[in-house]
Amino acid sequence: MMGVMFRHLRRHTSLLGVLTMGVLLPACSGGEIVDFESPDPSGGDTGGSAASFGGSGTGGTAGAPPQGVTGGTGAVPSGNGGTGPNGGTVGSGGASPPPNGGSAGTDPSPPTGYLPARIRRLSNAEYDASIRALFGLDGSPSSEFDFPPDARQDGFSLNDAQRVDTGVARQLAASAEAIAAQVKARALEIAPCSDPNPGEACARAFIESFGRRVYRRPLTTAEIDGPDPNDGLLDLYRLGAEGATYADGIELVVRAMLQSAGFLYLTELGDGTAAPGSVVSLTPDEIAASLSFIVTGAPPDDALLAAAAAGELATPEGRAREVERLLAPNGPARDRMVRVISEWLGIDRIEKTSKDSNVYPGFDAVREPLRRESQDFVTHVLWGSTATISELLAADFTYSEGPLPQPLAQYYGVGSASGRIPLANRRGILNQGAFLSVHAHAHESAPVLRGVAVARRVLCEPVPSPTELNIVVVPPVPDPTKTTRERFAIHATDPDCQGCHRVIDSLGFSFEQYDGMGQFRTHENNSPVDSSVTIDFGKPYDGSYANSDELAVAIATMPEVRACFARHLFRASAGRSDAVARAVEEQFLSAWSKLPEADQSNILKTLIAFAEHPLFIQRMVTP
Amino acid sequence: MKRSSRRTFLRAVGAGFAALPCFRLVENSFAQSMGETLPLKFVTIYHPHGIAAEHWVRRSTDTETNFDLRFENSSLLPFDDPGTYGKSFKDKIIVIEGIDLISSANGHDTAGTILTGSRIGGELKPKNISLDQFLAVEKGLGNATPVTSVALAVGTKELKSGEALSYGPGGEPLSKIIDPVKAYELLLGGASTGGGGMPDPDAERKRRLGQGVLDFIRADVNRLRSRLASAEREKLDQHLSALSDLEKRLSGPVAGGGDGGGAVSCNAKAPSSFPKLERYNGGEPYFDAITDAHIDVLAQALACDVTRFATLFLNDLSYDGNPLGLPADNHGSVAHTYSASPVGNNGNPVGPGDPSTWLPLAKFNRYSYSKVARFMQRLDELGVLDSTLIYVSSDMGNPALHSTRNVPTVLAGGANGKFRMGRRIKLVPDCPESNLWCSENDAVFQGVTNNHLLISIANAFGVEINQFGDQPDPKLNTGPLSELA
Repeated sequence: MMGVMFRHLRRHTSLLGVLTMGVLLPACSGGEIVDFESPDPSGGDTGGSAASFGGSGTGGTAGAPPQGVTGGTGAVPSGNGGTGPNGGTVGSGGASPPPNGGSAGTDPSPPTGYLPARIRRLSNAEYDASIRALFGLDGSPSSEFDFPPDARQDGFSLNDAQRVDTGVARQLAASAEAIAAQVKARALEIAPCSDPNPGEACARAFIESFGRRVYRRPLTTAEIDGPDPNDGLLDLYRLGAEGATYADGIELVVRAMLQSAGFLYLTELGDGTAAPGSVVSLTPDEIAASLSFIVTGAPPDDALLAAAAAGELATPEGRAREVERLLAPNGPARDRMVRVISEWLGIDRIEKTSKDSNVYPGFDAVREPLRRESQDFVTHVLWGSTATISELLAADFTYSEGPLPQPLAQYYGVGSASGRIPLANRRGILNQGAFLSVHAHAHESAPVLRGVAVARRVLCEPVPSPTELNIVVVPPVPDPTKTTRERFAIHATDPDCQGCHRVIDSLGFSFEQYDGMGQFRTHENNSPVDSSVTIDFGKPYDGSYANSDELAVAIATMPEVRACFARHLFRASAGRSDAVARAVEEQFLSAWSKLPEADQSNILKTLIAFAEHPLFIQRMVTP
Repeated sequence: MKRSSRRTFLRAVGAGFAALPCFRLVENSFAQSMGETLPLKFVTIYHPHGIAAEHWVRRSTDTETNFDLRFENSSLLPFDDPGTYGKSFKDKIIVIEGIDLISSANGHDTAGTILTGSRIGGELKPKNISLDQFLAVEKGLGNATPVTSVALAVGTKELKSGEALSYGPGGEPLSKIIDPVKAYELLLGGASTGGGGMPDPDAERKRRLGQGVLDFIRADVNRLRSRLASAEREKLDQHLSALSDLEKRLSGPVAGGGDGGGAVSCNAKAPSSFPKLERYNGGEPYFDAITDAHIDVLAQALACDVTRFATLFLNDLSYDGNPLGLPADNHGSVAHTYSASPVGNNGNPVGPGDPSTWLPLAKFNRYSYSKVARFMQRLDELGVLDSTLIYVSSDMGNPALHSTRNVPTVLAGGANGKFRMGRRIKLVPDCPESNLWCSENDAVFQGVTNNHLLISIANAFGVEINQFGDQPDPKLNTGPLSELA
């Protein structure tokens, strides 16, 4: 039956057409039905020198031009003559000149390689962190008030696609109302007033000082006083306090602030004086907020705001200094960095992963310990050890801050120790339970899912998705007499399948020594499992490997792998992954590749390199 | 319904009556008795795992209008099962064979095409707004009701194209309500209790403060919007629509918006809360009851004219102790093992298939349709089935192939007479005999996309469009489905 099914498959795209894409042979059924992520269209390190920093940025392969730079369409005031990136409030004078120099509309060849001036809504985690920072509250209002999940881009929760729809608005309103009610109870602590009869003057002072923190910039007159009734925050104070108390007024102000556009959206707009088609620098406050959320997932602290006010963030050195400070051990960056690594490898999904309890009755007991293990391990590598991608991928230990929970100790066959725990047959994060469980099915392992995850996320091998190839995915039917590998071996015999699956399967089969919840095994369905693979893609990691541990050790130190991580760190931080962003990504990769080798493999230093990059603070104003 | 008729009704019963529970229901039936049609409502229901076509397609003796739904192991049985649902709904459905969802994506990522008619992009999103949102928000047809539209789901809040039906401008998925208690609170909770018209100062202050906050947010969003390029403005346009939705909630009691207004109540029993709601988080054992609760709340909300646009995303039941007696892994062990005959294989000559694999899937399909039948029963009892159009679809045809062609499609309800119901329509096969394996990119491809259906539905709402959904070839997304008229 299965053979028949495979023989009768027809591709909607000819194999020849696919071959001309110049990627590893694609085509065929994925053999798995879980959604493939969007493909990684960048093939390793090619074309990285397309545009140098601050150069004219003609950028060969670097990507699409910014949208809509029309050059003199009359409707757009193009005569701002010499509007530089630092006009108006930026004021530091320290930033580099706009790469395309000159005014908008005069250069017929549009500049390439800038992110557009844009806004992005806070992710749920960023919202929570902001509330905690503003009010000194614990907890997670986004969970408590059941916010819809973040929309992901390329797997990352920090991105500019997040919207406020009715469902989000409703939960934001409920959360704001509840927090404001708590504020009311301590109004004089949060909005102090020396006047025994606190009133409008104190409210104004509160709106100005607290509003600056909520909006991450000073408020404008319109935001405070509003030309029309109810347009400004002071109007709301009056509305709330009328016939009631000062605390009622403050409550209403806070309730409104927490639903305001100024709070919910991070801006990357500059000071608003630049014409469409020109490049603008972010304001010091925007840089501070951007840096802070990328590094710590939370709003800027006082020191960062001070650095911004002193104009220090306009320079690469100034930004590097601040990022280094924020990345200190036991500093505020831990949760965010763990999140970045988790979202990179998809292991954040461990919380939502479940298994067929008939097949894996022990999974529920290890799910939470596995989550915690990833968190502890990543934290330890980053701040208790080398902070390198090579250690993350090839460490011969795991790490537990407290005693390793018993179910997990049993799972790994080790004692319930804390600290560094040597693992005899597991190397690095790819061979830990979280990665192995997430990239598997409810009832069995999933060589295709594991192979695709390693190919795309670790090696940056462009595995096309079935979506792109317009093909039908036919998974092999369950067969209790065969190992998973034997069932999926059909890929190797079907010429149409071999293309993609030569890559996917050789990576994925190396993990067959682990079952669908990541437990070590030697047999499946009474047959011995085979984890040995030979890779021959014409790549540096070609070779024969006994299993995924050997593979992990081999790739961990490869330049291609650290470059692939750098790309993903860029995507996790820039919050966009379309063609426009890709041009910026290439420029970042080019700069990063000039770092000393030791720094390239250092995860924290890679992040610093991103923040240092001139394009971190530059945006293209689109019409 | 015309205002004049509502005024007539009010004069007849007296204003005090308007404060009684479910006033709107009585008013509706009065309006109907006066020969008026109620406003058309549109509900889309998704069900997972495609179809066992062998137990779904027309029998050899069936004709378009004369057909049997009670054949052995029929998955469509619930539509003709008066013993269970009070009456047969055979004359209130159109079963359409041969609709294709051209998503260019894996079947599991294709639910997003059902209402958008769009291909699915690399970020697993469609590229345009869904029809429910197009009608309710963009065309303003949801403005008259307290809740412009609502997206309900069972078991998943995820916002990928495989798990959402409703999309805003640009194809951004809309968040969904998975908790029937929250659905109740939104749609029916807080409904007026009447109370003889005495003003409540606390409520009035609350409303005033809420309005003040919304006015401020709107001004703040507009301040930011004015600084943005056009591409970015779309984000805030959606935010502004959301604020308008919130504002409706402030302006009065929830239930009974419509064109009549007034203090109307449609108090339904609040559903009990469930200990777990999410898939993969222990929610599965409650999915059946959650589905029923959603359906009951939604039916009541439509009857009370709280909203006219809704989507409902059903889920798999798979878990230990599945009430249908299906395997714990319904997905892997039922949908994946389906071995079709040609009728379930897009007409391709693949051999006889394995009948033993059809039955479990047919059983699951029948379960999904039983929920639609329950919904129809509720709407019928509340007098609004004839003014409702329900579009029922899965994301796949043959689930083992993950095929997005020949997707099971059912229209249900009276649709205010816009469509001729009581039929089984069989559309032309996708490929001619000479090229049975053709793809939608081939010139000979003659498959009928759901885009045509979406255009027909828009037309039924009086929105005259002739193209809908992001497709590269105009033949795929132009013109209504002529068979429906």
